[in-house]
Order: sequence, then structure tokens, then C-alpha cells
Amino acid sequence: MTARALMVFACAVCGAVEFPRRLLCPQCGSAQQHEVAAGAGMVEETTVVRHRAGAHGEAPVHLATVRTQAGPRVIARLGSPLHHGAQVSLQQQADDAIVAEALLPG
Amino acid sequence: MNQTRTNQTYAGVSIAAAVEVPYQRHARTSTAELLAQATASALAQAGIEAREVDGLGVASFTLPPDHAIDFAWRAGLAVRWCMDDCHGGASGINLLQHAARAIQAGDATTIVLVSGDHFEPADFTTLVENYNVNTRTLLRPLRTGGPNPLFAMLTQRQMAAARLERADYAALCIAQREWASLNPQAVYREPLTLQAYLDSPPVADPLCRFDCVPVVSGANALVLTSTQRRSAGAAPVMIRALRASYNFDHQHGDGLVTGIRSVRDQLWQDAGLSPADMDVVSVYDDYPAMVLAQLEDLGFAADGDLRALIHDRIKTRQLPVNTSGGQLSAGQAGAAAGMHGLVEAVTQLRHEAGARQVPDARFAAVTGYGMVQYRYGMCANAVVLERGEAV
Repeated sequence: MTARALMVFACAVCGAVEFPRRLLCPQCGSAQQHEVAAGAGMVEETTVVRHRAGAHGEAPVHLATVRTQAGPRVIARLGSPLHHGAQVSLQQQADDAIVAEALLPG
Repeated sequence: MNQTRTNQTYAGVSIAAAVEVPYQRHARTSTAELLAQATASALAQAGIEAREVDGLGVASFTLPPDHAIDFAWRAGLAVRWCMDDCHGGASGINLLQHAARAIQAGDATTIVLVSGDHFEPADFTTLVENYNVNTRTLLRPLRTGGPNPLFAMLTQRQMAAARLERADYAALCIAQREWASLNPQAVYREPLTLQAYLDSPPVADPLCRFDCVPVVSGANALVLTSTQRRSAGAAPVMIRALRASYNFDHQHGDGLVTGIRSVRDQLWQDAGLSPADMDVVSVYDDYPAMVLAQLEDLGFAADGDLRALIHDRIKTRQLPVNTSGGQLSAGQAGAAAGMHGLVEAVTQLRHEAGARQVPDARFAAVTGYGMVQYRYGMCANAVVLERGEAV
């Protein structure tokens, strides 16, 4: 699946950085914003989804809260199990899923 | 944040009925039928005829394509005040706030507030995957299966910040289950042990099955009247204070503090009361971590010691919290969850709670919480209720 580096959104007036995207800036009310690269971050918490309502036998999914280098936190799927403090790259797939991969082995 | 004027009284408004259509795991009915049952039951409890009703508020995820006005017609209600509410776990108190103001303003005199949902597992999955644009766009492709993993990570943050362990959350769940054992309407009443909790299947680490509300179908309703019109023989319940706070931190925080923190001082000042005066507390319990967060926000753990709050006060029933068993034991019937705690508090203040009655209950605090935007809930509200005098 094609993927691109994750982008977050900076207010063109006051500079506040947000994710997900806002319609109007919560700091200053401006509608003008531009994209800022957030292609890396640090894992803050992780969890493994082992059960979903009405579903049986699905593979566990590893998820994380990642603090992006641009500031905002995102919820991402982990390519491999990682722990708090791991440095990751962040990409957004064509289906909009945010995927985090370890930047350094181990 | 804007400072709203203080001492905003809710005088002149009575809660004349509070009912719950028994929650069921598998109910062969529809959302509209559950709402109609709750409406009829509430009016019967209040001793009020349907033709006297002139206001209606509805909260439901699964009523569409019908809305409140469609339900009003189908339920034979002609009204001059009508409201749809979409605040999920905060809907009950949000409806209460608006309905009480409508009565004070003279826009209506007798209002039915009703909430509920009928779910099959597929309905629930559709709801949680399409909860809002960001959930549908950013979380559904991750296969989150709803908010469980978000609150799993929030719970980890709380465990680190408050030095809590899984056994502490187990104690909270066990305490609520013990209350549920005294509530014939709770879906889960069998005792829960620490071992059963620790051995239960994980859902999203560290959350296990007992940390996640069971999905059920059901409905709740309240009847509000102007105090002069009240006709029921039972003690009415009055609103001492009510405050709401939505998007107070713009989702910039860690979710461990809710909007209740931002209105707590106004709430208690309006009420002229403090946490120590509360006989009963209903806290919105979509997850055990949120029970603790909201209790701390309300000021029930002034020293910040959540473990002592659990073991010394909740477990011992010194502080009666979620005396119905809460959603964790009674089940979460969609939008009805936003009214479940209100109904339990009113039932306690009417002294009609049977085996689980808190003796001489006079004051209750109730919270609402919900509408997860991306990482945690946007909405929080709280109300202080008081037992009035029967006339």
C-alpha cells in the first residue's frame, strides 16, 4: 500500500500545531493553515487489541500513542511490538491509517 | 474560559419520575419501542397523563432516521419544546440542563426526557467505527474496534501517574458488582473475585473484559415538571447545581483530567455544598479509570490518593459510588448510559432503591462523560441533586 510521511497542521497566523486537522484554529480562530511534516516521533504508550465486539479469531493489533516531533500526539499501528520511549517513523497509508515503524533496530 | 455568573439557581423545577426499562443482552424489540416503554413507565410513576406533556428531549444513537419529533408523533405527544441530544454519555445531564431552563423560562411545564438504544453486535460495531469523522477516517483503518484501546492507553497513563495496579481497578469493579448484586435490574449480579478479574480474557492491555462495559439494549426516562404542577405523591428531586464543560482542553491533554475539573468550584459554590455532603454518587463509568478521574475532578480525592479512595472509601461503602452496579455491571445501553446514573441517584433520593438503599439519602452528585473525539472524551458535566419534600 502506498504511504506518505505523516503531516500535521500548523496555523498560518499563530503557529499552533494540531492533529487531527481543525476547521478553525482553537488558539486564534484562523481558517488558514499549512501542512508540517511529522514523519517521526516517540512511543508513549502501547496496547494490543485482542478482542472486538462481534468479531472472533482476528489477529491481535499493536497500537501506540506517539508524540510526534511536531508536537501533537497520534494513534498509530505498530509494525512490530515496541515499548515506551521507542523512536519511530510515522507514515500515513492510502487508507489514512497511521503506521509507526522503529527507527532503530531493537 | 469565560466566567459565567454564579449562583444560577434551578429553583421551581422538580424531577417527578426516573425509570429504567430493564437492560437486556438480547432484546427482541426496537429502539423506538424501548423509548416508548420508558416514556410510558415514567409518566405512570409521575402520575401524569401523556396529554399533559408539553416538552420532549431524546438521546439515542440508533433512533435515526427518526428524531425526537418523529418519536413524539409515534408516542402520541403534542409538545411546544422539543430537543434532540447527541452528547452520548453526557446526554442525560445535558438534557436535564436544557429542560430545566425551559421550564424556568415558561417554554414548557412538563417535560419527558428519554434515552436508549437497541443494539445487536453489528449495530454496535457500526456505531463505534463511525462515531465521528476522525474516528471513521483515522481509527477505523487501524482496526481499533471502538474506544477500548484508547482508554487502555489512558489507563496506563493513570496507573503511572497515580501508582495504581490492576488489582486496584479490580477492587473498583468488585465494589460495583457487589452493589449490582443488590439490584435486580442489573445484567451482571454474580459476585466478582480478584482472581476472576485477573484471569479474565484481555481486551486491550491492561483492560480485561471486566473493565469494559457490556453492550446491552435498554432505555431510561425522567419527567421534569414545574414545581407547582407536580402531582406525584413521592418526594420530588430538585437540582441544586449543574455545570457542563465541553472541549475544555481541546484534546491537548492526557485525558486524565476531565472538563469537570474546570467547573468543579462553580458547581459546589452553586450548590452551597461540598463533596463531603454527598450521600450517593453516580459517576459515568465507561471504564474504571474514568470513575477515578471524575471523582478526583469533583474533589473526592483532595489529597490525590486514588488508591486510598478506592480501598478506604469506595470498597467500604463509606462513599457509595454507582450503587446500581454502574454500567460495568448493569450494562451500557448506548445513549441510555448518560441517564443511568441520574435515574439511580433519583431512585436513591426517593428512598426507593430497595436492598441497595443508602439510608436517609438526601444529596447526590451525578456525572456525565463521553463523546470520544480522537484520544478521549470531549464532554463532561455534573449535577448535584437534593431530595425535596413530598406534598
